[in-house]
Amino acid sequence: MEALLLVTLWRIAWCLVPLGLAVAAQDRFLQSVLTFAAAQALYVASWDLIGGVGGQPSLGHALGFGAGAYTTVVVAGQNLAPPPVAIALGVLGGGLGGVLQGGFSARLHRVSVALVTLAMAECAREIAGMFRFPWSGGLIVGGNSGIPMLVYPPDEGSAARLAGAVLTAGLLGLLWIKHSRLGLAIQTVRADDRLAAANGVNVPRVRVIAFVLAGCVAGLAGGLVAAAAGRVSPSMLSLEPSLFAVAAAAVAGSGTILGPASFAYAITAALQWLDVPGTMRLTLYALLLIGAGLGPVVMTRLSTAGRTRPPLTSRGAA
Amino acid sequence: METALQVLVSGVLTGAEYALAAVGMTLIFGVGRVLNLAHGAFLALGAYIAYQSTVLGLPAVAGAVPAAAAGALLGAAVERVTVRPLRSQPLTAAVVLLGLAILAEQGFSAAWGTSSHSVPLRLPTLLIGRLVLSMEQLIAAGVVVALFGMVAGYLWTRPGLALRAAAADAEIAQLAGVNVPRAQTATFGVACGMAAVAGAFLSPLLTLSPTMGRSPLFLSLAMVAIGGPGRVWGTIVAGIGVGLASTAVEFYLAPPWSSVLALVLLIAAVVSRADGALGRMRSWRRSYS
Repeated sequence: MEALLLVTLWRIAWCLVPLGLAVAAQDRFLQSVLTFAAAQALYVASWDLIGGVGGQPSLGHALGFGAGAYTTVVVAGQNLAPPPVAIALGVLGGGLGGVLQGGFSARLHRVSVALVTLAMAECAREIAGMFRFPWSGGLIVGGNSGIPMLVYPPDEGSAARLAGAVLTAGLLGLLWIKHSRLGLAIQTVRADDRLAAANGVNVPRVRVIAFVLAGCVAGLAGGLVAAAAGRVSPSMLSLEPSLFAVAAAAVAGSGTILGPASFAYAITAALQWLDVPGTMRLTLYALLLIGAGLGPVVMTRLSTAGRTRPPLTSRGAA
Repeated sequence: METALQVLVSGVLTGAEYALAAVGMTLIFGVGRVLNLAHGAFLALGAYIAYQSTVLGLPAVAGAVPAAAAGALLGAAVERVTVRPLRSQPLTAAVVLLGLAILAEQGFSAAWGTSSHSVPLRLPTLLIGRLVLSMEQLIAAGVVVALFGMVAGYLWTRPGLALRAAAADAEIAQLAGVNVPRAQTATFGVACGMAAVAGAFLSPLLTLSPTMGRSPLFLSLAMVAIGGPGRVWGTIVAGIGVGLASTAVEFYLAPPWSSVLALVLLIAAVVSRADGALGRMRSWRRSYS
């Protein structure tokens, strides 16, 4: 019991670190870096709820992220609500993305889930890139150049503190979900869906709920990024953010929430600090994916090389 | 009416070329149960090789031969190094192949730049009645039909039978003396070569850019999902149908809509089609109904 309490306290303390850093940072550039790092960490943590805890390997999690960002920009840009409310409404856009992805893939298996979610995000990106429409001030917006909005919060310090606070709250919320009854159901479904169904768990419903929750948090992260950047574009729906989430989870421990979020926070901060261009980032994510996929196999082979008899190869068997 | 006929003929020819890539993908899935998410990168490689051959003054179709060789060799190497160790983890293998495709895109950027290229037609254009057809497209269609015939014929030969046995049950085939890993490597190589040839043939119709392989990847996935994973003839028919629909949408609406169409077809096919190992959806529906 004492150990459990210690672990819980340690986790809560860890969740407070981004907020502490945002409050402590004084340099404006550093504050800007921490803002984007916090938003990306929240986004990756949301993927981990569905991909890691839920075992539904979405390759199109950018749908929720981008949908949230578009919702925030449209609501704020059309003056339908003040910017803080618009950011919060990003949850609805992300949730809608989650409903779509969850609804279509709840009854599918892993590879099919990856395909369907990837195709849905790409479909949304294509559609977002096609439409242009009049905007306030007589501007024609949309298409591949995206939609602008006024940066919110206007100063870097407030933006960093807002993003840090939202990340802390989001991580605590995701950890709570993971250890709640719903989280247990999600983990049971991941472990053995047939057994879960036999025990009365409504497997498709649990999966849809997991997708919606993950989409809502991703939408909030997308809203934060759009507000901090002052723009949303179809690139937020592209393969890059989706791959980033998968790569971070694969490297830092899928299903732990805090591991992928911490890794995403650190790597985003480092890449922002070093001003690494987008194409280099995509290459890095690809290398991380390949390394995470092949690394365990290579390590196993290296550790067993020369110590055991080689297994019967197909040539030997034949 | 003439426009519709032109779209119909062009669509069938284009669809057959895309179907060549899709047949490669379905062979890989059938024999190795691996979803090759790097297939589009091999198609892009073929297109860039064809572009390079036009720079040398040759027609794009002449690039199909080096494209086939490069695709097959690289494909076999990729299978041997990355896919074979992950044979028991199909999702990880697919994600690693997606990572390789991203790396390939960076390679194309380094080799041919980030700006887009177009492939000129070097051979004359024919006027058949009121139909306008490029000689390159006709040669490509002829080669594609010949390749389909060769694939179909090969599947009835003794090594082809071994391949089908490996696709049906790898363990039993191995017990019967079939060298399954070698068959899987060979299939992967040949399939990637087919994708590269398709890329070379399609290059005059496409705008070459480092990320150009993504849209054909989704088209191929849609064709495979509709035709039935692992089913060669189903994929060919679906390929021609999807290619025709894609060309019609591209002509009557706008080019980006053809990508949307491919993606929607892919989603619809995977979700609704209860077929084989791609999703085991049929058994799922039984489980939860």
